[in-house]
Amino acid sequence: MAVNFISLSQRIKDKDPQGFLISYLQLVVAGKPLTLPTSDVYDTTKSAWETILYGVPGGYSSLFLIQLSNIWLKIVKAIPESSHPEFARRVLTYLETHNLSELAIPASEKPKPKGKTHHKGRPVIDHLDDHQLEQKIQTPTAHPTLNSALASPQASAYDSVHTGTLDFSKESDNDIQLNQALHAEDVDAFLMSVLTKSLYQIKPNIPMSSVMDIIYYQWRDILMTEFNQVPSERFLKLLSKRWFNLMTQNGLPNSRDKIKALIYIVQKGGGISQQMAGKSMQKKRSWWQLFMKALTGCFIVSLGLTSGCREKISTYTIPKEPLVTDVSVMASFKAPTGQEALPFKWTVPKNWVALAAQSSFDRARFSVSVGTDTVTIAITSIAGGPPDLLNNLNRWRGQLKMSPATQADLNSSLKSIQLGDFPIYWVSLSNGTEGFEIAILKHHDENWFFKVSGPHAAVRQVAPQLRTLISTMTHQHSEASE
Amino acid sequence: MKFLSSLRLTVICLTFLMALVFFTTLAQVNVGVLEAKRQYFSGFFVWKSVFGVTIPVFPSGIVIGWVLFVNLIAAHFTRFKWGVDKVGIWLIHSGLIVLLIGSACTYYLADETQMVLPEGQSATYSESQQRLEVALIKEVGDTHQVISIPYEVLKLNKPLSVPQAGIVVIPRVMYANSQLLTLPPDGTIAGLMGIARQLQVREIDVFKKDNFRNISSVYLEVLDDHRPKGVYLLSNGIEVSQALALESGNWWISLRAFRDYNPYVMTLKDFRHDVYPGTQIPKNFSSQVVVTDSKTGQSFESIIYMNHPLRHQGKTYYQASFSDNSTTSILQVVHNPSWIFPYLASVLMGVGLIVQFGLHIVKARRKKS
Amino acid sequence: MTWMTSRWVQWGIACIAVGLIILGVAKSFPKSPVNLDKASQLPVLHGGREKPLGAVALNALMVINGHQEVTVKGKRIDAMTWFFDMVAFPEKANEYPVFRVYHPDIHAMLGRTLEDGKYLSFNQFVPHLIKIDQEYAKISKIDRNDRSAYQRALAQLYSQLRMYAQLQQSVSMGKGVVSLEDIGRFETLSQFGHALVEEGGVASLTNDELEQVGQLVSQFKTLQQLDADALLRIVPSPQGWISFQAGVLQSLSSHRIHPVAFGYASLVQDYRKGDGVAFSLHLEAITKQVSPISPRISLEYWMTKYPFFYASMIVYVIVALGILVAWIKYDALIPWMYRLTGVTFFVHTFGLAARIYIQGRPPVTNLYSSSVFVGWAAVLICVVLERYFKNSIQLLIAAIMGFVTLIIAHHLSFQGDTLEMMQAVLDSNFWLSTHVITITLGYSAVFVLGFLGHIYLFKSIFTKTFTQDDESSLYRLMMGVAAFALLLSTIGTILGGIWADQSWGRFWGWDPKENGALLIVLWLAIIFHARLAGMVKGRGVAVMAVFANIVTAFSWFGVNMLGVGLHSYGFMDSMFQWLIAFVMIELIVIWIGLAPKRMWRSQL
Repeated sequence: MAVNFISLSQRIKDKDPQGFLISYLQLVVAGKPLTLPTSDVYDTTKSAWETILYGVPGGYSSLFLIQLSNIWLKIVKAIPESSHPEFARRVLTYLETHNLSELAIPASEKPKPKGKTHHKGRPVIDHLDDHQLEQKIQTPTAHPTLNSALASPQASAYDSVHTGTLDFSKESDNDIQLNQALHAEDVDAFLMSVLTKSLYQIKPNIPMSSVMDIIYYQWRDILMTEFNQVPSERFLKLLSKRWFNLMTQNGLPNSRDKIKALIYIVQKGGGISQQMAGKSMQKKRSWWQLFMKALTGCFIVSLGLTSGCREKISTYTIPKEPLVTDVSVMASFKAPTGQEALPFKWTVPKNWVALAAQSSFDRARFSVSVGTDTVTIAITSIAGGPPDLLNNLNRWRGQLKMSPATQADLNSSLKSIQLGDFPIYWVSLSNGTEGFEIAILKHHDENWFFKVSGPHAAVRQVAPQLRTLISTMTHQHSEASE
Repeated sequence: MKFLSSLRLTVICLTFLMALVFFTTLAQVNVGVLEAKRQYFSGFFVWKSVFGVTIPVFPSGIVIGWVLFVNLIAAHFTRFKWGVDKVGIWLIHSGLIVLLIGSACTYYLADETQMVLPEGQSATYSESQQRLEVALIKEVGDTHQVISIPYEVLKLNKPLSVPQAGIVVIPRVMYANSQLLTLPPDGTIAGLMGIARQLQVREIDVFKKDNFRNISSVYLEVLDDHRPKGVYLLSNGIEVSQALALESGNWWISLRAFRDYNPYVMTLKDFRHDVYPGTQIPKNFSSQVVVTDSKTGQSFESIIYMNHPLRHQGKTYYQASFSDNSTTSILQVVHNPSWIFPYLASVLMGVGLIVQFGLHIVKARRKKS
Repeated sequence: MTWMTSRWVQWGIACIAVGLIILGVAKSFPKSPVNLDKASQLPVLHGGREKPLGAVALNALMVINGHQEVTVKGKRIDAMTWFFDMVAFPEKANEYPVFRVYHPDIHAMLGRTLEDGKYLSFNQFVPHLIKIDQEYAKISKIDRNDRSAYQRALAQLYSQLRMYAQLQQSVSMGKGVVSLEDIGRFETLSQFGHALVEEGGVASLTNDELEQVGQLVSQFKTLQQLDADALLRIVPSPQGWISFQAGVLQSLSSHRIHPVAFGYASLVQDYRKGDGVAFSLHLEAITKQVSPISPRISLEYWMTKYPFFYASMIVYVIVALGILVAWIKYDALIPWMYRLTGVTFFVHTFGLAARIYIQGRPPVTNLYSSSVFVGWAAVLICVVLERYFKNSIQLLIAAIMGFVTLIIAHHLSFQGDTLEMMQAVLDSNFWLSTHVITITLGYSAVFVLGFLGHIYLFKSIFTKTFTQDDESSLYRLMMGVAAFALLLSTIGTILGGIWADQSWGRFWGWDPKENGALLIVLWLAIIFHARLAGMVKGRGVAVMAVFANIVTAFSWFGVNMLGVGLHSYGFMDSMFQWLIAFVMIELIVIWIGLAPKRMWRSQL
């Protein structure tokens, strides 16, 4: 079989440290740039192999690592160091002739589970870390074969969860369950199996993130590389979501305790259990609930306060200032805007009262009393091309709240007449109560509008006065405006 | 509560805020900045008339701002992970909180007025461009005692007590925008005094665009110690102060732009408007002013020009505009006690962004190696 | 052919290719006895800054005519020839149809229709000048946003006519073409006037002498008026640049007309006679008087003659097409495209650096320079990314962005002097180099992000070869660029607020430009938060990135056009239509991107 990296992982999977070393060294001999640990101290060797095995897809069990380290230690002690490829060759030869599996873990009697398995109805979650485990299995006594070692109930040193004692032989059972879960697309069962498996891994191959799409992509990677599965989108989404919820509610599983807690939670069927919350979380929550209520209160109060600070009567004293106190009104009107020299000279009827301008287009403004009604006459001008009669008509109709007219209506609403020297478009509009009488004059590329507005009947009465005014209008020479 | 700290709420709020900003920008073209701000950001809702009925169509800017603020604080307490690699994010969001607090403070506390200074003249006050006040002035020796009643306080037909003058005033008719006509009054209101006897007031539509000034008018009934003194017409379209003889003395009453008096006098010595030679492109606007303290008489000179305001006693004077053929300088006066918040927020957010981005790069590089 | 793959050879050939393109688009002067090329190097003052005469002529022609050359009876006339024709042969030049008018009502005012032709000559306007002047006086009072299309067109025409008239008077005594006799006579008259003053008194003058004094006075008035209205200042003096007329008036105080004024008058006469030798002699004389010529002016002359940005634009198009061809068939083209981009980027950078040096300002000062800078920054970002993610996607984006921004800039250059002086409120190098640069960089980054989104969607939906790995690396690239864009946009917006606070007393005023920047920041923030919330992943982020393009285009250009409607004429208005077209295209891309995944061709 061709030696390559895949066969290395296979060896790890098969829990065959000797086979692994042989393949590994063959690769070294073949010229691949691989590291070989050179220390003869157990801990250093073990870390070195850990570094080498880091990132191996599928991971490796801690037992494998221990066995590997022990074997290697023996090799290093037996074979003197020399140049890299030479050393590798010598070790290979040595391995092919010696069976170092005698250094595999010896069996011992089935140890009793430490402490109780259940307490008050809840399973006890035991603490047994790697180091204690190693102490237990490092002392070689008998020399059973590797396989019997695997079959040993050493695994019972691992913690029990109420589904029963897990051991190495059961690990393959776990794999079967995992595959079944994948086929059935059962997210919870899958998670259970994966988490259980991850307990054996130095670097558990599970997503360590609480960001949704990182979780998604990592699960996709894991499923495809470790389990050789192309998951369905639906399963992947559900899995990621579940994981996301677990992460945000419980934090990242960066310790074995946390993984165990997760297993428990998944079993329970999700959700934060009140007992798990713990008292400190509850205390935090009640404080910040209070804070939130206070903040909301502030909001409502502040909206009311908008009327608050500025609206107070204030008193102050200042040095004397000049005051305008003359109540004869003509002197105090603000000067009209937009008053340039008018190009026309017109005679204003006696009953027309001049007013201040309201906008910069006003050329003149008057008001006339007709009985109890008042009528306004506004004279405005604006530069532009030929006057857009239809748009203007509809604008005025809109002001009277009448419906818009079409081009055909235009002809009936508009009259073309001659008043004195000026050709005029005359528009009469009324909505029953209010009315407009408007004269439109185009003068030197300016459009002039003479608009009489007010109550319908009064406007009708004043309209002839406007006609007279326009008929008697004369041109006036104006200065060129700057 | 989980909802309040959720990210989905943040996304929804940010999207709403984007929509609001977009529509405010479009609205400004037609109705001007101030009106657009009022329509979209104040109150609880944005009201629009749909088929003739005015209904709330969208939460207003203030509401969204508050929800975002609450959401941010809630997330701080529940979701945020405290770790070295999250320092950047924490800085950015705390900067944002400071910014939101600051803008709320500015909204409620800041004040902008304008000072129009012709060359060679002085001013002791600046005027608001939106707010009006009813001013009651009494001569006391060498000084004027002024009672200022903000126009917003007046409510139609609600009596308002002015104890400083010993009177009660009741607005009988109020127009936000009006036209004054030189006609005798139409007789609908009895007891007219002062210029009310010479004028008629016609209501017109409020001007929404920024450059048009609304002429507000109010018929104010005055009761001096429960004795009716008549109804006075006050309008900011007339500069006249009308005489009001009361128990408490002889007062003058008028409606004018809200005035903010200063304990100092500002005099414009020279206004310069430089253009680049041979063009009309403005190179520089500057006002050379002298500020004289009213009590001590001490004075100092200062030049106010673009990007270089004058800060004095809590107020900042900016060169805003000019008129009358470059002989009158118009200064914008800003009083904003919460000015420091945006600066603080900027520093926090800026540092946070740089830290976060830096960490991002460092992580990416580490991954590569 | 292994030598073709050598890096040095490729760089060399790319340099030569780009050089040839630059030479190809360089401005050339027609065969003429007079050396107009040398004349275009003369320094003058226009728009408040010193520049070569060639730039003034070119700019004026671009503003009035919309092209860099004017076509008269089928013949193309370049800007310098046009300028000299205007001054030396006014009767002829006034017949050239230089004025481009779109609005039909203006044609109607002249008694013709738009179909008769868009281009009008100055003489066609002469009978209506007074009317136009009066009309303009009224229009100028109306707020720009409230003007109708006709009013806008008329206002633009007014300023173009004015510019034309002013330029024509650049070397003029007021009556027709300036002649040396006229100048000589004024000099004599003024000397006489001087002598008169010194001798003391008009009383002893003969009728002839009185008449001479009268002439002097009326000429003085004319010259003064022309001086007040002068657009171009061609005579250097200790007080700064003064107009030709002021140079002539100088003889009243110093007995002699300024030699440069005399020199220019001679130039005009030489041009009329077609005397190339005398023209060159007088050119030399003027040049000696105005030396030393600032290197800025020489640089601007070179920049005008060799349009670097236009050449870069052409190369970017070639690169974009080249990459597309390379993706389809010839992979070997890619390194060539990379070299071409590198050389063009260098040219692009040089152009920007020259502008900085000439203006004495940070690179972004108006819409034109912002467009050039956005392109430059985008190419820079893409080149940097190409070093880390070696696929030619970034190169394509760089080429597209370079091309699009430079073509926008090219059209913007017809609005006026692109190196114009800064307005008072913007006159702050500090804020220009911090706030403006950061925001513009932010725009570049967002556009790069947007185009990456396009590529993501295009590749996922339409190609079969888009793998998971490709997808995740493109996704990571998008998030990285988005982070960069968010960083720049937020810091830029904050800096803008601080500048506003220092200038106008308020940090945020809900001004359209400010709102636009805020929209970009908000949208980028929404992308990040939506991703964190699990609401979007690869495809979602790509679609949001395309939308970011719309937001940024609106913020950059749209806010300048808020008062503009769809039925308008003129430049800004046609830009509006392009903006709408761009938005439509992006919306279609978004709609395609939202198609259900089972319709995707790639196996994602």
